[in-house]
Parts: sequence; structure tokens; C-alpha cells
Amino acid sequence: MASVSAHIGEAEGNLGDWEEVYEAHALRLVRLATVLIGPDDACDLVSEAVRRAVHSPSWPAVRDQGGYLVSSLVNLTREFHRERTRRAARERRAARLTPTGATYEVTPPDVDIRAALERLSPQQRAVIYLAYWEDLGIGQIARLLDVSEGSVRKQLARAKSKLKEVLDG
Amino acid sequence: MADHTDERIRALIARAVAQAPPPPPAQEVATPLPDLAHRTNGSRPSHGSTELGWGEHGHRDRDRGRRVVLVAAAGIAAVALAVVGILSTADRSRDVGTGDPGEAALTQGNAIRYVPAATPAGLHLARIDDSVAVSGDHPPDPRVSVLEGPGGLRVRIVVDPPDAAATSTPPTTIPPTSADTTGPTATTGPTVTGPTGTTGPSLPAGTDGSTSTTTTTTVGGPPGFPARAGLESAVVRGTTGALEQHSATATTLWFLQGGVPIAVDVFGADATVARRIVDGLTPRGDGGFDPAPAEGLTLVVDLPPGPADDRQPATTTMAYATDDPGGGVAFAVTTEQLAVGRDDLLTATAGSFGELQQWRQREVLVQDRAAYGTPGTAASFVDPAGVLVTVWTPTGGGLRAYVDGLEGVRGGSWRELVDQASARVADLPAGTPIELGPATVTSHGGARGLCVEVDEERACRPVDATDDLTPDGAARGAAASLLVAGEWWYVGYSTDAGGLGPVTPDAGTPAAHETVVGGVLWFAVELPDQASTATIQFDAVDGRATAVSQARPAS
Repeated sequence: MASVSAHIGEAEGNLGDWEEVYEAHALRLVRLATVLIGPDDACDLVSEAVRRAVHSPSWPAVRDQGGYLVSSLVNLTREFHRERTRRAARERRAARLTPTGATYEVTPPDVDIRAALERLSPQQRAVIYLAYWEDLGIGQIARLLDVSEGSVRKQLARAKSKLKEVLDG
Repeated sequence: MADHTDERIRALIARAVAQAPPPPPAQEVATPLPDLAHRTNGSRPSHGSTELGWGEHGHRDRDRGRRVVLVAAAGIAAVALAVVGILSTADRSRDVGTGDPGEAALTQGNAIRYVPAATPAGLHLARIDDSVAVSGDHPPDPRVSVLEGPGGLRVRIVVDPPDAAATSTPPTTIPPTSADTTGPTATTGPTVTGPTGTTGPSLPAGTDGSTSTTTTTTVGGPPGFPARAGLESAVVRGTTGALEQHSATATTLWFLQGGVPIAVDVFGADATVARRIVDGLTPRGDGGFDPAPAEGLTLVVDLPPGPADDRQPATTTMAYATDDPGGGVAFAVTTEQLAVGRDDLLTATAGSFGELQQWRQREVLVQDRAAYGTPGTAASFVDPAGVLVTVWTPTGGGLRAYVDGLEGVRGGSWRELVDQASARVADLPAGTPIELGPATVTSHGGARGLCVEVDEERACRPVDATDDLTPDGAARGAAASLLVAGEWWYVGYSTDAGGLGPVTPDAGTPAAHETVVGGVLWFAVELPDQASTATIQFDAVDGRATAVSQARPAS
């Protein structure tokens, strides 16, 4: 599975064996990305995470490449948030400078989901997704995210506490 | 996980997952794309999406045409990077920034920062502040006019653009200790910033090597003006402004006109003459001012306001201190990204506010800080990419060697330096741990660094305080902005803050914790993940609040 040809940086466009890894995890990655950042940018985030992962020099040596993709996705989320926040600020400013003064508001499709998830860090979102959707155990989540089991327990407890606050209104 | 809360959370996640789009095909994923930072930096509109991305209806069409353009852009970038690589083959061990104008976007993480190629013996990197402008974009730069008169009279007028005036705060140091009295702290000398400040670049004449990107404003002081020792409220042009007398022949006056903050530095005359000159100014239609004819002043430089820049401005201040635990700062370096077209700022003002010298391949503006009533000497240059670099040393000794020894680094190399300095902090003797909510904060090496432990994850960092940027000054407060397991924390202590006030990030809900131990206020603020900037307010013991604005540190 993880042959040298998987290092596609050696031959751009040659998909190599990494394609099988991706296709085996694509649905999982997009679902996780949707929980992490919402549906609109989920595919972009997955594309970027996969691209970075398979171009990484360490990719050929990775044993659990599916897990590596998950970890890459979670790590990328924070950068994505920052860039989007800056972009949104620019666009808000641009909208303010529009001669007509016209601005527009977009109503979130599901206020509950947004309100709940925006309270969590990317890692907490990932932990919640893996625990509640994929039903993974503490040890499995810890290995997947490359953190300690204690950290997963605490992140899970804090995430649950935050979600409970929102859900209780 | 079988109680009611678990079921509700499971249902919530199920609803979120149900919105997941179909996965992109592998062929599309395989297409090499430019870095995410490039793609999201204005490459496409967000159509009003919210910070979390849950604000749009439906799924955006995947525009293959856009990808073609992006791939082409990536190719161009690759060629540019290859050229850079060829040029820098002599030093491949470092991620060196050449300062070529064609380099990639100067975002915070990719900014060019000038550091010593080799840290001078006996010194170490002791202070780091590599935040970014809170506004998120480079604001328009101010109009700068320089006039000269008889007897060495020099006047500099700095007019903030209205947009910057509306969004900015005056740059200074760590909030609880901003009332500095010890010389060249962040805004002790006159700077390009007006009374309400600007996040735009400081003029070299006002840059003392300690300009911090931490921005502070005072709540309850003279309206719109910073409050610190030496700055007094004054009637300027018939309105309430502020005056700071740096020496018998150097004064800065601030005033607001039409809501626009204006700063005027007057050198070569006493405060009375300075007031007279400022009161005699006549506004022009273009936002500038003409002096009263009787003053005999001649306009020598008139730079119009710089354009707003879409790049993320990155300003970094780093101070190198002696290894001696009680030793002070030897020199400090500030790197600041100028807006496009402002790289002539240095030479345009050199004749009046410093001496332009040729040091190796660089034109360097050398300034004796005594003109501002502060110690030391500063040297500034602008690299080809528009990065303004200023080196300040309190004694003036070794300045040229410091400047000549600088090299540009970017991205990973900068983070390596920060990591090394942070690791050093962890090895310094620790003080008593302070419990602040889920965080445990510990000072190390006196006030040299702070460590934070949360959920068994620990991070350390040199403090970003600059109030002790003097050879023997002691910090009355210190703070560090750092990431702990990816979560953004702003922690620190103050000996002269009354308490922690409101914390207002640009998104999300923060959690703030504070405690007083032995008369010292300790604080730890957990900032929301979706926040990129935040303002933290403090209540000072004299009843006037201060507020510090911070940007999320680079991960």
C-alpha cells in the first residue's frame, strides 16, 4: 500500500497508491471536515489536507495513512479558520465601502449546530466527531490524533460541557 | 455515554454530518494547489460566509476554472521560489528571505524577519512579540509632511487616514505597565502614530527598536489619547489634545481635527514655539497642513497617505539580552512590513530626522535617540520587499555590527528560533505555579518567560513585555501570547493593574481567569478558536483602564 510510488511529489499527476488510501477514507474525511468547518469548505479542506499529507516527505513511511490524513485534516483546520476570518474582515470592510451602502446578511441554516460547534476547538470537534459518530474509544482517538489518552478524556469532557451549555440554552 | 446529553450530542453531530457534501474525486484532490493561505487570501469571495462556515445555503459549485488559474499561479510561484533557492544556495540550512519583491505573500507565518545570522556571544533571544495588526489588513498609512526652518527647526506632521483612525489604537507595551517612565519603551519617543494611533508602520525617527505590535489604548484618559508618564492633556488648536515634551528642544503635540488624529513633532525649539507652530497651521484641502508664513518653514517632504494593503502586516519585535540573569537588553530588532509604495519613507525623512549612511550594501538611517529624550541609538533600513528594519541599542555600542550581522529569515526558520527560545525558557528556574481555571501558569527565570499547562499539555514562551527594554529595568508586568495544544492563551501578571476587565475577541466567547497572589495580579485568558484577534482590558489602580489588543500567534 505505502510504496515509494505513493510519494507523488516525484511525479506530479501520477496518483500512485495514495489514491486507494484516499478513497477508502474520503467519506470519513469529508464528514469530519464538515463537523470541523462546515459543509461549504469541507471539500476544499480535505483536498488541501490530502495534498499536503501525500507531499510530505514522511508520507511513504507512515504506517496508518488513513489516520495520518485525519490528523492532517485537524491540524489544517486552525489555519483555515484564521485565513477565513481575515478574508471575512476584508469583505466586511469592502461591503462597508460600497457606494450604495448595500450589505447582505446570510441566515445560518442551522443555528443550533453552528452555535454549538463554534464553542469547540478543532481538536475538541474532532474528538466529539470520532467519539459520537465513529464510536471510537479513548485509546483509538488518542492514537489517531497523536495525543495522550488523558488529553482525549479532558478534551472530551470539556467539549461535552461546552455543548451541554449550548444545548441547555 | 448513555445519558440524555450524550443522545443530544449524538443527534447534533448526526445533523452536522448529514450536511456533508460528496467527497471530491481523487483525481481532483491530487491536483497540486498553491498553499491554502494563498487560496484563501482573496482568491475567491466568501459570499458572506460566517467564521465557522455554517452560514451559506447549499454547497458552492466547485469551479474547475478557478483551479486552473490557481495551478498556473502555483507554477509561477514555484518558479519564483526556485529562483530564490538558487540565490540562496549558500545558506540552505535556513529558510532565508531574500527580500525580493516577487516573494510570496507576507502573511504572518511567512513574513520576513531579520535576525542575527549568529547570536552574539553572551546574548540570547529574550523578548518576542510577533503578533500582527489587529485590523487584519494593512491599514492606509498616514500622510507625512516634513518642514524645515531657520536655526535647525524641524517639524514633522503625521495625519492618520480616517479609516485607520477609526480602527486603530496606539501602539505601546504590555497593558498594565504601559505608563512607562524608563526610556525607550514602545511609544516613549514620538512615533508616526497619532493620539489614537495606527497600526501602520512607524517612521524610523520614531522607532526605537521596541515598537510592539501589542496595541494599547487607555480608557478614561484624555479622549482618544494615550496616557502615560510625560504625556499631558493640553489645549491644542482650541481643542483638548495632548503634549509630550521629550527635551528642551523636542516636543510632540497631538490633536484631533474632524475626528482625524494628527501628531506634530517639533525639534529645535521649545514647547512654547511648538505650540505656536501647531496653532498656526492651516488645513489644506488634501488633508495636509501649511505652516504660518511668519514661521519661515519650508516644506521638504510631503508623502500622501499610503494605500491600504491587502497583505497581512507582520511586525515583530525581538530583544536580545545578556545571559546574566540580572542582565538587561543589549539590542532589539523590529521588523515591520510597509505598505506598497512606502519604501521611500526612509530616505524621504532622512535629511531631517537622522543621518543616512552606507553600511555595506544598505542605506541605513542612523538616529541618536537623545533627540527624543531617550537613551541609545537606532539604525533603520528598508529591504527590497518593503520590510522596515530597525535596530536599537541602549548604549549605542556595536550597533553597526548588529545591523551588519542581520539576515532575513522566514516561516519555518523563524518558528525554529522561537521554539529554541521557548525551550530555553522551560529550562530556567520556575516560580510558584499559579492556578487559573484549567491553566497553571508559571514564571521562569524571574520575568523572562512564562509557561502554561492545560490538560497535561504545556507550552512556554519568552514574555512579550517590552517595558524593561533598558539595561537595568525590571518588569512590572509580563505577558505571553501562546498556543497550548492549539488553543490560544494570553497569560501574564501585573504589579500595577487593578484587575482583569472585559475580553472581546473578534469572534466567539472567551474564558478569563484571574487571581491576586501577594499583591500581583495573575491572569489567563482562553481565547476562542475562531478568534484571530482579541482585546483584553485591565483596570489600573489609578482608576484608568487599559486595553491590549493581540493577534493569534502563528502555529
